[in-house]
Amino acid sequence: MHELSIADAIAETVIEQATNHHASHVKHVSVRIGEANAVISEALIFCFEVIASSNPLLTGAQLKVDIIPHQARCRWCDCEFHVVQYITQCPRCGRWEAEMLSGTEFLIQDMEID
Amino acid sequence: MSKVSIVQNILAVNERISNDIHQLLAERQVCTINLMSSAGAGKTTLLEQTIKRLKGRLEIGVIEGDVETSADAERIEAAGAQAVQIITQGTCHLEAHMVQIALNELDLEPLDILFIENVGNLVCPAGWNLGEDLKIVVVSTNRR
Repeated sequence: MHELSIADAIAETVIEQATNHHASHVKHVSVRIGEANAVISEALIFCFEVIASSNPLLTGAQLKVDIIPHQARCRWCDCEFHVVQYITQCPRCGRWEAEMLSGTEFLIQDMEID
Repeated sequence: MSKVSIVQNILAVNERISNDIHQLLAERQVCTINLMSSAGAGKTTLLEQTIKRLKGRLEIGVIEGDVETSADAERIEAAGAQAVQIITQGTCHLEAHMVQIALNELDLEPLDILFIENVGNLVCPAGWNLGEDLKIVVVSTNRR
């Protein structure tokens, strides 16, 4: 259940930023999380809702989670492929030397406030 | 209603605390190792042996992470090192703020090495930096 800790970390940053912007209420928060972080969107949204319900600034705030696919490119044959379960073997030439293109992102992107 | 751009690492707060811990331990010249493995791989056993074999040469302290019990800290103390137990109450990894609290209970002055024994799990402990100098992973292989 690392989703609870992640939701807690998101809430902490959002509260800090909302306070800095003198917001009365946060309505939406969007995050970009790479597939390689093994985060389950539904669990993260559920945990965020639970945490949000106990803070007046965040009550009813909705979390939008964009999961960024884990993509890699083979250094030998330039084949771009989707990495499944961290296996970085090129599906075309079979070599194991791939460069990561995306999938490790872990960002709070933006929020909508009143 | 207005849209505010944040674009900040989700674990930014953890990173901030982790950097503070790293700075504190560097000032005290304590080498800090975050010890990770899946459950039952032998982290505590490895630590017990390390403490016994380095006794008299290097002063070792241990922060023990566990979901429920303080059994591991008792084993470490019996082996002859200072130990502080963090019981995470269900959380499957250690976070920097937990380590920061535990550090208050350790006497850092005599220490050469501080081991932070993470919760037995290889998924999320990897994501949270704890202010360590090194991460070490213990891997158990099956015996045939």
